[in-house]
Amino acid sequence: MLQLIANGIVFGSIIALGAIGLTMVYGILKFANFAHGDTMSLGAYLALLFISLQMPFPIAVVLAIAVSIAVAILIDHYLYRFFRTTGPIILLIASVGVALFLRNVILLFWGPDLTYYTREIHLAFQIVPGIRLNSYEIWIVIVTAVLIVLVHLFLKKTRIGKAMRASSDNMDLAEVVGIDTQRVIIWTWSVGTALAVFGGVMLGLENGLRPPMGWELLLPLFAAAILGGIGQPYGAMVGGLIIGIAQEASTGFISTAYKPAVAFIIMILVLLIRPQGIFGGSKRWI
Amino acid sequence: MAILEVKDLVSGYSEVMILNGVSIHCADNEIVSIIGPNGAGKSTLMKSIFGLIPVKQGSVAFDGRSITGMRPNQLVKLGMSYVPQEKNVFPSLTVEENLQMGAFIRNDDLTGSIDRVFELFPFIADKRKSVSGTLSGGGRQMLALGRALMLEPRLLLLDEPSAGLAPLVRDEIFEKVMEIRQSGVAILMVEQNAKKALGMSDRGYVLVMGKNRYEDTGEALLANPEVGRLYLGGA
Repeated sequence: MLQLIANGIVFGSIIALGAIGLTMVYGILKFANFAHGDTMSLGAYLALLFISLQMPFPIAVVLAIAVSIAVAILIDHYLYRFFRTTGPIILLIASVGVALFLRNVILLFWGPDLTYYTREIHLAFQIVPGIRLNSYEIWIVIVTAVLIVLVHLFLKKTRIGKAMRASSDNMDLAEVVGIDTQRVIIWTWSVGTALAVFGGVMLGLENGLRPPMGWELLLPLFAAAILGGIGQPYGAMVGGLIIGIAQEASTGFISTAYKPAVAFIIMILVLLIRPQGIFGGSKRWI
Repeated sequence: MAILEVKDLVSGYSEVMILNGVSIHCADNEIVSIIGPNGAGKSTLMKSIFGLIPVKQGSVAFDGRSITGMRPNQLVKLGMSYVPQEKNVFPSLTVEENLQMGAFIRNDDLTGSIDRVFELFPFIADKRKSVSGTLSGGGRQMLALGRALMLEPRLLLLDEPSAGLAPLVRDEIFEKVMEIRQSGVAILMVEQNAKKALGMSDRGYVLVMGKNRYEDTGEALLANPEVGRLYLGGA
């Protein structure tokens, strides 16, 4: 059981990183971005591209983030921007189109087969009695923890972070007080996409890369965002860990084939019992 | 010299025009009230001045310079602040963060301005670290006024500052508005509470059906029997 919880924390870290971006875009741009999972895939494959160009791993990740952010901002500028006043459903459907587009671009360039960042084998070792993780998994948890602290400091301490929270509260008022909402939108895509790329690369390290990897993660991402209270970054962090642990822990009792169903059941239960999520309700970000 | 000059303003939403040629002006350091029945276009006038509703015809000038069609983020840089009627604070941000957001366009140190706001509104000073969604209605209104002052504006547009407040709190807000004016800020205010508003204003306008109906000093409008009978709730 301890081992399952440890696995859950690893998987939950990846979900949390994806869910933060999903929930931020929802909070500020007011739509459910179905392309967020495929943004994670795109980042993972871009990192693969830069690694294949003989770049060291950290630099490849940084470049993958930079390119993915550019792609996200371009898509916003040439597509989503025109639908800001038409309501969330049009944006949602546009994002499904973007998701299909991204996934097929990946298929076109990298093919459908499972690939890996490296052929090296990383053996799991015992950290504490009853828990064995490999070095990648330890890195995943550490990097996620650092990123979450950075996101927290960004939202709480920086001017643009506060402006993002303000815009999520009330975009019209943000305009009225003179907040540069265009800049807020660019920052939202940047932060959300950067975290998504980290999540995608981690997923690639853990399970290898396949074009639908991000799309298939969408259900747990939404489950985590809704569980935490949609629009609430802190909720997404906690929601991600809970979904991750629940999915992994369930494998101790039922077939692993039911893992996605666990996220789905949690999502339905939350929507039935507490639709505003754990951190929702008072419309706060804490 | 008028700090704000609105001439023959026509504006509204898509096909329906709510304002049909409104002209008002506001001098430096003057306090001007706009009163009128529901649906007269008072709030629409404020929003049109502040660039939130497209102006179809007519002009708006601030300090002698045309600002017709300018966006709010440009107007705040010129020295104009607007306090909407409702939803005028960021509920998930703390009191202090709300004030910081009021000065988003400023790059300098804000401590002096924040201290001045807290001096004017000691009530919210005690709650500077509280999340503003937990404030009372009066507290929120004070915070909204304080946030608008963070830009050290020359003109403040207030849309029904007393809406939904208990009488005691309402009087306190009006006192604060007078204090703000004394510090050298011109105020253009829309009010349901017409008697109170005219009583404290240098001048007033009565707006009916999107047009000017009366224009005079606050005192004269209060004394005008017709205005009294029609728009000040009788006798």
